[in-house]
Amino acid sequence: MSLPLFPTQEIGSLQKPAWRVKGLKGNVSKEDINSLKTWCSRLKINETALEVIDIIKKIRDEKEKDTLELLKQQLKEKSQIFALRYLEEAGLDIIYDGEQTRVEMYEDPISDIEGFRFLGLARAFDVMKYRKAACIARPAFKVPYHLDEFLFLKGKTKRELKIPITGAYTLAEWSYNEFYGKDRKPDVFGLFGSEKTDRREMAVEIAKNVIRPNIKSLVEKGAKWVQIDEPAATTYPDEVDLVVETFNESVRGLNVKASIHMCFSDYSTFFPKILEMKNCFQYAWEFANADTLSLGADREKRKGYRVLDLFREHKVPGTIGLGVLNVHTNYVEPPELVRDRIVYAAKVLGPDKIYVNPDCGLRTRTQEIAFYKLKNMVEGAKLARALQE
Amino acid sequence: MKVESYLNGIFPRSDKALESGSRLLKGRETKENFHKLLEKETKEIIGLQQRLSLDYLSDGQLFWDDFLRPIANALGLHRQGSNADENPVTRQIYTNTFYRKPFISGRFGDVNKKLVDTTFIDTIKKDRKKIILPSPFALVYLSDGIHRNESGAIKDDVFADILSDAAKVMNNEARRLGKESKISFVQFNDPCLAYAPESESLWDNIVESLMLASRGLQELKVITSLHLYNGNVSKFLPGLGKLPVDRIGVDAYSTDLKKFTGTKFRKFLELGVVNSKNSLIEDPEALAKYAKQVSEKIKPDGLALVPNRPLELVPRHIAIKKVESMAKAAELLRGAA
Repeated sequence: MSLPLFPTQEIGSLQKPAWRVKGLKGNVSKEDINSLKTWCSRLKINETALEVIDIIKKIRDEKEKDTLELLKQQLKEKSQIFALRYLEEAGLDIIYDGEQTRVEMYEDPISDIEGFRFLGLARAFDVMKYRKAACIARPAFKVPYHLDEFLFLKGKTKRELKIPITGAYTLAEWSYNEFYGKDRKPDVFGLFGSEKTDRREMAVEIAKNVIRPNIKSLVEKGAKWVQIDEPAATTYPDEVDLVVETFNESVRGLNVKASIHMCFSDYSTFFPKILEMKNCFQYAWEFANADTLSLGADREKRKGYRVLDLFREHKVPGTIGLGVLNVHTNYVEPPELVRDRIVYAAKVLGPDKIYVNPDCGLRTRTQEIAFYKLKNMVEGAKLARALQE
Repeated sequence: MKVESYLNGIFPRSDKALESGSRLLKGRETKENFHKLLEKETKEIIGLQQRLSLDYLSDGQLFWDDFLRPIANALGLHRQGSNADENPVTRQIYTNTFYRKPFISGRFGDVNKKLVDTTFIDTIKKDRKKIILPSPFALVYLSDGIHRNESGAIKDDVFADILSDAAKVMNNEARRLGKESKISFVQFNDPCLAYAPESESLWDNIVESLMLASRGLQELKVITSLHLYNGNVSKFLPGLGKLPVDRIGVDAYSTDLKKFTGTKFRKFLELGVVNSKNSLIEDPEALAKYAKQVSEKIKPDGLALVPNRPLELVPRHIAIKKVESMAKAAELLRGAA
């Protein structure tokens, strides 16, 4: 698939439309339906709106459990199509389905892995939360949990598909541990270091026994690119080697383009260990979050992008997924700002190394805001491209 | 040896409150309802500590969006008013929690303003009120601003000035709380001193900042403590035992306590043995046994059983069980002493 200079891509999740969330319970409002129709018209998929309305009506009236589950699955698939067209219409080159079938990047995979039990909610920041589980037995592969969504999407777009998959280290780090080391009887001073020992064992086993089999099943069915999401990668600066080890183990021997996404981290801790990652095609990182809003492609204006220096200094192979949209604000970055962020990165690393994306998944933004942000991102990439020609 | 137990930071919001907060973000909940829930849960946390006879009581800091936020807001370190330039969301390393990175654009000056809300602290019985503030070092180190150069490295001289300012600000607040709210205990939480590569080279400045932050509190009969987590702080020995605070808190899971033996650590040790990063409920007997062994080896002036770091990392129902276990362990330990 031929891609332009500065290819544009999504990173992962998009907000699920109200008609998809409430529709699963069969109780959408008139406002939700209007929004559905407006968006479908905009995305030139008017027939999808009619199909969605029909499915929601059936969900509302259906009593038989198996049929109800089938209808819910159909609604989720419509949501996948909707997200695919949404990203196409925004103009992105590399897309997926905005994780429309997944609950959330941690809860969803953990639900499909043997050995975990959910315990309740924990806060990440402000009012952001996620459901946390404890590892209570050795993690084991249950089902290839992203295969159905990929098989559904395959062939439904001409754009390149990139499948996000939560990485082993993040799954281990975000889980409580009630299994590894449970029989240990620490004597005096014995607590020191025990957590790390246990987390290491858990992460490696998840990579080997869960993530790799999942990726393998996707590759066997034609997946070309998997993005391993490791937002927890720099949680412990002295465990970056474990992130590297689990990445390598997850894709070992598999014929697939593999990249890694990390965000909201102190990336400096990742150097020079990053050089030990084998065949990592791309490092998609968040930058815009810490950048200024001023135009300009100089160091002072582009303070959020200074970590790119480390890539240059360490001669890191592979490409950069350059985060140019702050996913935590409703501010719609103008194309010129996106352009300058790209131009700056291209100056530091060379234009061929740069792919363009939001900092992270846009699920925290409304459909409207996310769409305008993405449109401007695509426009900004065009402006940057024009300057290179 | 005196044995105590108490909490040391942000307590988790319940699932119900977290769901309410999430709805608030999506415009499906009112701020009033959300705050009512937090008020109710704050009262419950105080009630829990009273029921378990913890030695000092805090308010659980449920209204704190992160451990720096109210302080940073009060000091004008958060740019507000536009969605575009809210301060960056930044990972608090060693956890999957984040904070909005404050930005320090100049010296604080002689700031003497109310930094924390004491509505609930004021309901706690005199002699048992405990307040938790970020350490001056944590506030400055975890902020961006004029004390860092363009690559983020610390500018030593500016850092020292800002650190000194932050210490005075904290001291003003602690003294105000001592006088007006009659608090008995101020704890400075420091999640970064343990891992910051600059800690050792800045040690003298850190000592001085704690001296400034604690100034005049003894006269007000306010106990001071520095709780250190997210890393192995044994590397700061023997200086750690000489810091100008009454008590030192450590995370037993990430600190090599063996190194404390033979260092004549003669302070009250806050032993972080209740693991806030794991859901397993500690067995009170095992906790008491472990703490007894540690105290026999280190021989501190006193011992407090505490969470290794604030309990906000586990769901609330788990946190409650952990606190119950901690209180029981302290009771067993007192009985054994």
